[in-house]
Amino acid sequence: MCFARVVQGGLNRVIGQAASARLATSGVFAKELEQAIQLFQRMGLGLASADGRVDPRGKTWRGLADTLSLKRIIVSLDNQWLDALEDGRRVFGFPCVSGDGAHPTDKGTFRVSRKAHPYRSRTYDVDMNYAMFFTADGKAIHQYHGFAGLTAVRFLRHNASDWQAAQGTARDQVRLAWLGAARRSQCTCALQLDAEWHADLRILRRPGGVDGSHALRWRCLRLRRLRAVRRRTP
Amino acid sequence: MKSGDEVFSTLEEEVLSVRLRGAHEQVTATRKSSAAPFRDRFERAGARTECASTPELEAALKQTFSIRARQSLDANAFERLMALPKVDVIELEVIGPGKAIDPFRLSLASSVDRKRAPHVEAFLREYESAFSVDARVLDLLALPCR
Repeated sequence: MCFARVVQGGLNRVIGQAASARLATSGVFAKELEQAIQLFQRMGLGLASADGRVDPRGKTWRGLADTLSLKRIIVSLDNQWLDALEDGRRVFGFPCVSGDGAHPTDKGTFRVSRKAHPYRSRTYDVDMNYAMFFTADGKAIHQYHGFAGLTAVRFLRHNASDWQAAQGTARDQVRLAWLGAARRSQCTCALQLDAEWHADLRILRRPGGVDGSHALRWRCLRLRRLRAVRRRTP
Repeated sequence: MKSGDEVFSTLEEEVLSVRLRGAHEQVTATRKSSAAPFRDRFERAGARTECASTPELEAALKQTFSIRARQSLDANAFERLMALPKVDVIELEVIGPGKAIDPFRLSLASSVDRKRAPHVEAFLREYESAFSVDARVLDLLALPCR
C-alpha cells in the first residue's frame, strides 16, 4: 500500500499540474494506476511491453526514480525518528523531536515548499536553522536549538509531556535534533541532500515499511538509557 | 554558513511577490494567486512601466527562487564592498502566500568593475551573515519591459 502510494505520487509529478489527469494517492492499486503505469512505460521509458507493473528495483521503478530523482523524508512520530530516502533507499536516519501534545505535529503527506538557512522564528523567538517548511502555517523540519540536550528532552517528555510547554520553547514544529557532533554533520548533510523541492514528506503514526531495524535499534538504545538512569537513581 | 549552502529556496508556486529595490531602480513582480502569471513593474529614473512576464523575465525571476552561497565571507566584507565606489545595494524580498512564514529578505551589493566579472555579495542583516552569490540573481534588473 505504501509502495503504491509512492508510485501514485511519482506518476502525479510526471503528469504535472493537470488536475484532471492526476491519480488519487490512495495507496490502492486500481485500474487507473495500472493504465498510468502502462502509459509511463510506453511513453516515458519507451518499453515495448508495457505490463503496468512496478517492481521494487525493477526497470520501471528505476526509470521513475531516474525521471524524478525521488527523495523522501519519513518522520515516525511513534519512534521519534526521521529517515531520508533516495530512490527508495535509506540514506540517512536520525532521532528527532516532534511537537508535543499541545502543539501536535500534522500527520499526512506533505511537500517541502520553502527552505531557509539561517532562520529564526519570530513566533517563538528561537533559531530554527536549516528550516524546511511543509505547511502554509509555518510547520517545518529544522535544526534543534533547545537549551536542553536532546536526550533530556526526550526523557523528560516521556515522563512529563508538558515539560517542554512549561519551558516555552518552540513546539509547533517538527523538530529535528541530534545527539552529538558526529550526528550533527550527518544531519546537516541530510537536510541539504534531501531538501530537494520535489521531496515528499510523510509523517506517519507508525513506522513505515521501509526499514524497521532502526526503530528496534532506537527502542533498545532508549531501554538501555532508562536502565542506566534507574541504576544511578538512589 | 559554508560555501555551497543553500540559503533560501522556494517552490515557484509558493511565490506571490518578488521585489528588487535599488537606489535608482526597482522591479516588482507580483501575482494574485499561484496559478496566475506574474506581472512586472519597473521603476527606472522616475518612469514606471508595467508588463506581462516574458520567458526572459520568467527566467530572470527564477534566479531569485534559490540562493546558494558561493563563498562565505566575514561580516566586514560586505561593509568593505559597500565602501567602494560604484557599488549598488539592492534589497531582495520574496513573499509567499503563507503569512506564518516570514518573507525572505536579502541585501545584495553589486560591484561594477570592467576588468572583472560581475561580483555580487549578499548579507542577511538579521543574522549578520555575509557571502557571495551568483550574479544572475540580479538579472531581472537588467531586462527591458516591453
